[in-house]
Amino acid sequence: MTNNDSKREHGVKRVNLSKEAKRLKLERDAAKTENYKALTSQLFTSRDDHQLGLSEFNETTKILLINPEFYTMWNYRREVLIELRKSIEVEQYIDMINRDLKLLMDLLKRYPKCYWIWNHRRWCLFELVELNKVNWEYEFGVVSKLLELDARNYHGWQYRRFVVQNIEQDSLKKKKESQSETLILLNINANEFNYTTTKIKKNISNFSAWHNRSKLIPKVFKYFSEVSDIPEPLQELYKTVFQSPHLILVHDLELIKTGMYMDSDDTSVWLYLYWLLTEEFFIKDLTKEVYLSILKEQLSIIEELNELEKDDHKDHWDHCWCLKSIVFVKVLIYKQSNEDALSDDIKAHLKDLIKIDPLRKAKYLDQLEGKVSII
Amino acid sequence: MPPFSRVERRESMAERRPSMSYTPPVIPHLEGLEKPQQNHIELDQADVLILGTGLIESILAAALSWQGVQVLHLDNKSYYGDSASTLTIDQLKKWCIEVNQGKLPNFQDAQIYIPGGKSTNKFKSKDYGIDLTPKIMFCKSDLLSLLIKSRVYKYLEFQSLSNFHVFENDDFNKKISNSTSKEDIFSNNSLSLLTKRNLMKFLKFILTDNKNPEKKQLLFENSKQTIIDFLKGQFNLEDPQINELVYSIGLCIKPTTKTPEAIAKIKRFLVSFDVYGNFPVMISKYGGPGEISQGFCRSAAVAGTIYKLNTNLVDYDPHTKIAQFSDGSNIKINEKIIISPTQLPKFLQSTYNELVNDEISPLPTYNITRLITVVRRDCKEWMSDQESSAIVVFPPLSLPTQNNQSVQVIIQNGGTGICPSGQSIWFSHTSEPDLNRAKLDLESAFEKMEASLLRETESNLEKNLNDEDFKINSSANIYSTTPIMVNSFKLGEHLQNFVPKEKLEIVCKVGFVQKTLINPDLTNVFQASESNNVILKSPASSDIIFTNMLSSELSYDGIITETKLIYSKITGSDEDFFDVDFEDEDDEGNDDYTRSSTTTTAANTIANAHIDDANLVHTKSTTSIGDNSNDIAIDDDDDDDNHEPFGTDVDNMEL
Amino acid sequence: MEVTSDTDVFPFVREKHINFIIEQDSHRSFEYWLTEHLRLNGLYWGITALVTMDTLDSLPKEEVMDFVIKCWDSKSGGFGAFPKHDGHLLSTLSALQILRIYDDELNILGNRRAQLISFIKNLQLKDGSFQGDRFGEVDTRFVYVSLSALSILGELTPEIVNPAVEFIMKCQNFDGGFGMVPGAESHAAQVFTCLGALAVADSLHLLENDTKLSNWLSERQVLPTGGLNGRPEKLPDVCYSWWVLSSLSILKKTHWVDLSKLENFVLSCQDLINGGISDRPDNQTDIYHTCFGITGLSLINHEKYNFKPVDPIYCMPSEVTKHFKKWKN
Repeated sequence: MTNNDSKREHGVKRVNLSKEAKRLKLERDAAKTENYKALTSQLFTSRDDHQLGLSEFNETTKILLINPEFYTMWNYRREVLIELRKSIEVEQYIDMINRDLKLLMDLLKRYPKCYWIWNHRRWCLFELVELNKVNWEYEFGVVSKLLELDARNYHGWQYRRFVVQNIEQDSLKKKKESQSETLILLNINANEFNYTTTKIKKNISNFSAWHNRSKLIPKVFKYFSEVSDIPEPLQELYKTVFQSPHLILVHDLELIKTGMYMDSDDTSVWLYLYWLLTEEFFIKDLTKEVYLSILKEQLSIIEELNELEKDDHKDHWDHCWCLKSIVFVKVLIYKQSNEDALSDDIKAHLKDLIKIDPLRKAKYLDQLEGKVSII
Repeated sequence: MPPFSRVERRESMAERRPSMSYTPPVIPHLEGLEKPQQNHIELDQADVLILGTGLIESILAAALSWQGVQVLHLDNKSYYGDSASTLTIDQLKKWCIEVNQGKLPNFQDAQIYIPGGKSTNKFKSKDYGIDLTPKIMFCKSDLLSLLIKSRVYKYLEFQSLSNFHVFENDDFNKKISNSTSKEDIFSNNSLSLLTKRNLMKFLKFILTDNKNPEKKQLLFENSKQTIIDFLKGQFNLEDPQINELVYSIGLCIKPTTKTPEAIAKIKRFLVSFDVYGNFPVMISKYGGPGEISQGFCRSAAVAGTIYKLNTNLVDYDPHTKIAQFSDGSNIKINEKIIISPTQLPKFLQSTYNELVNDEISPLPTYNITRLITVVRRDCKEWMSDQESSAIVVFPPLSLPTQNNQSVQVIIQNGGTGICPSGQSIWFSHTSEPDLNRAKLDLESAFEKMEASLLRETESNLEKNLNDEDFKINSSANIYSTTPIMVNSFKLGEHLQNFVPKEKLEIVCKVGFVQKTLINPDLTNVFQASESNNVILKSPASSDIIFTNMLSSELSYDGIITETKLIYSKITGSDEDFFDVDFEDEDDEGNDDYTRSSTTTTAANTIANAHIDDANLVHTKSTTSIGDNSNDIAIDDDDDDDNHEPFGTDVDNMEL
Repeated sequence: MEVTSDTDVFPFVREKHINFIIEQDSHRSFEYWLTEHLRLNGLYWGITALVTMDTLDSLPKEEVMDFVIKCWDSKSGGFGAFPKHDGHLLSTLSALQILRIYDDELNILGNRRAQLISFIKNLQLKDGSFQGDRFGEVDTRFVYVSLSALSILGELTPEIVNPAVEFIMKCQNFDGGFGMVPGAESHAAQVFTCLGALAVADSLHLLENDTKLSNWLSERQVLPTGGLNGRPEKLPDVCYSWWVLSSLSILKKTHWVDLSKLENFVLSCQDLINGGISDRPDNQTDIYHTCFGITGLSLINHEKYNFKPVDPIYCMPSEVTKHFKKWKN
């Protein structure tokens, strides 16, 4: 049931073809359909006959260009490649795989959400890994380019993490004895961290970037703290952000503040704020007083913004996300002070939320009745 | 000696077909361009006769003939395009003479200035393609959609334009995209948090669906309010942002522009941003409306329209429906005759005059004054890397002449194929009704641009730049420590005390006035009625429909609406306007089997320009729409309800 | 923020949807031939929609079962999406679901049954995850598919379940949601596969008191349409009325979204002329969104539509799944 199809009708406007138009379309498509069916049956026949040669390889190219979702044909293609590998020169084989990567790139540009294409790309790369001929830097360029076209492509981000992992392994494998492993990893991951900053600045709604940032922060901090000599190009990043979990927190809270002001309706900003304010990685670095003062400062920033929003609202209503966040931060403060989270002001806020966020009315009622914890 | 005398003419885009990988299966032939014209029109009857091969008339010809209407399309000139034509300098010289001889109705006061003699000002006339009515195309616009749907884009080539400069307080401000993208607002340290918030609020408001009740209400309440007061009152915006939003993003021409009109114009820019990349506007290479007109003529020719140039309508008998032409032909016209104002036959002059100036609702005439200057500079200073054009706007009261209306300038250099490299053409115009003032405004704007350009190249770079101009590019990777010059050309310095030592070298300078019945705010296009638009004014009983001269609008807005007005008047409705499946043609010569999910996004493939697989190079300046070999199926969401302001990124990922 | 009253509520065009589904196989357009690789899934979507509307008989049972068996790939020991296509976990679950809807005992499998079980089990990797076939694509979808399939077959064992659950829990993110692999961004459809897998594995206690996840799921409902999206700052889509709502249902929190607004959104995505449901209003319909629109409506209010209740864990009629032997940890 959980199948995928990148070409399934998504976001395509409905067209009601008349009977005549349908007939015409069928007529027009007839040749294409025949060609496709003939190609399919020919390929299945040759596969049944265990034909695993260059001509079969080329035939699979033809059909996959028409239909990259035809996973069985990707399988057949790989069978052919595995067979060819036994009989042709290594250089020739590498060349074939590289040409496949080029073909895949063309296909990805057209079907950036097709699982099978991404899957075959990974397979090809591991063939090159075995032959020690892989170029992960190139893959890195490829995925950066794809994320430029669609900054939230789910596959794209996943592929980026995959490529980075491999670059890490590759760099460690190739490292000279004198080089420090941690430094290599630090360089790679700090670069990834900066990449998320760039993407976020481009569009604060890019939750994919915020997500990745949350995964990178503890890693980069760890590498910074393990490196004895921070190289010059990284010192700025260290001084302004990574000296301590506390500084990272302060730095990112500032980023979030701009984000909130820019678009208070943007959910990704608020989600990230909640993470910053509750993540052990940051909190364990803070004294209770400092933590409380940070929470209180955040509360006042959000309350201030809420006032501006109220001024803009015709009935002077609270802003939905500001109020949700006020509740969130207040509960954190009460918890720190070992006070009852369900205080009167929280109850009042929840009642307001029922009015301004009626979609989730039942949730607030559950919270009011103490059936579920608020955070 | 060729069998026919070919007038001097530059090759059209369709003839050149240079860099694109796709070759349409048939580039239609046009009479007079590729093949000799026949002495007589070999046709005994036609459904519709169109006089004039201007932009609207050409789109109309294609629309009608693709619906199976037999169209006869004539022009009394020796070239295509009518008043939307793209001309060489020699053609332009002749054109000016004809204007001043009164041979070209609706044009007047033409002047052409070519300094120096043949030794000091050498140029080849055919190297230039000068638009009489240059225009820019927003990336999200009805004309662009039609170009794609009709496949006419294949006869054309487009380039991106991302730099809009505003001139105010005697300064050229930096390009305006500075406050229209989330990124710029986010990172701009000179804006306070509050300003950032106000700007974002306004941008979000603009992009809200027009059907949204709150937006509707607010716009209704402010329908008589000027945009300036609206932005101050409702969004607490300050002058610098307001000027940018109103005059450069919105391309409004007057401070009195009403809120709804200005909002629509600002929205037009914003929704066009990031459709194909980081730019809102495209410009067609080798010439604008002239090239596009020809593209549609070619499309019409494929569908069966018959073309003939140098031919007038001499007489028409409404009873027998027989039309007589200057070449001696007689043809029966079954339905309607469409006549552009520059092609008006003598025998219809009084009919036309009576229609336009009747007692009940005479149509006012609007002036467009143009100054076109070809200069020996590439003006790269005003353009982004890899782009070849830019816009400069002089808002009201920004010039020493105290201009009442904006002066808008399109700058295109050799990279756009309209002049040799190292040169550029400045197309400026204003809708100022007082012609003397208009000319002074245009001259004054020209001087400001000239002074700005000269000051920059003359002065010593190092003296003018300070530390601020050298910055480590923060977006570059962390290993890069080489300072990158951020501001290589300072447009932001006062010009007041500057006296240039040298003069700008000018190849040619042309000025003229055009008349039109279309209001600069396009109200009588978008709310056309029998009392305000000549197209609708001609009585239904009449076989003749008069069209309009192009408006002063800088973009192609209104063109399709006007064409549809005529189309409806002929066929009764515009429901089947270009309701043709062009897919067949698309598949030929192309092994790509596009499927439904990608065809709607053909436009998106312009994003090609921004990705090149093998080398991962950055933006190329030339963008080609719909080059299927590099199709990128990023799902475009046309749904206004959900328009994502700064991109067309829609999640289609599911299991 | 105000909720405007819904002026247009569309009727549910049951008969048209039935027609839309049974006529799927008669479209012989080019596009139809391009979707062979989804045929078995398509069949499952169609049958699930029909059985939910209580009109399973609209398709000929024998022909359907024959077709499923024709998709058996004896080489791999799994089902392919179409006769001669390779076996894959995705089509295998579809096959099992279809067969199980018709036949409690799955007798038709015969000696294929044993092969099938080892096909699935052999695709499990050391870390507890599953690959979709022998070519190595790893994704939480395959964990769900495998556990669900083995559960239908009554073949779950602690050796399989425990590492799988461990893998699933590694895929949870700071926002409470789950991604396709550890480290990947939360996505509503992945949340469903992970929750479904945990439910099949009787391990939902691991998410006890997980307000974050329920919160995240309820925030997927967006205005003005009331539809559900798959990730923050994304457009709503009918298929999430299944992925999100079934997840909330597993967590017993369907009331955390406005069900009547969601219902109207799904109804507004119907093609009232030709039947079928699309991702968003006025878009092209397809069998996938038709299925998840209808199963979504069943979760919202099956009585109102005279639908059969759907099991949120298996996306099959509850009357079928109630016979599944529950696996207890």
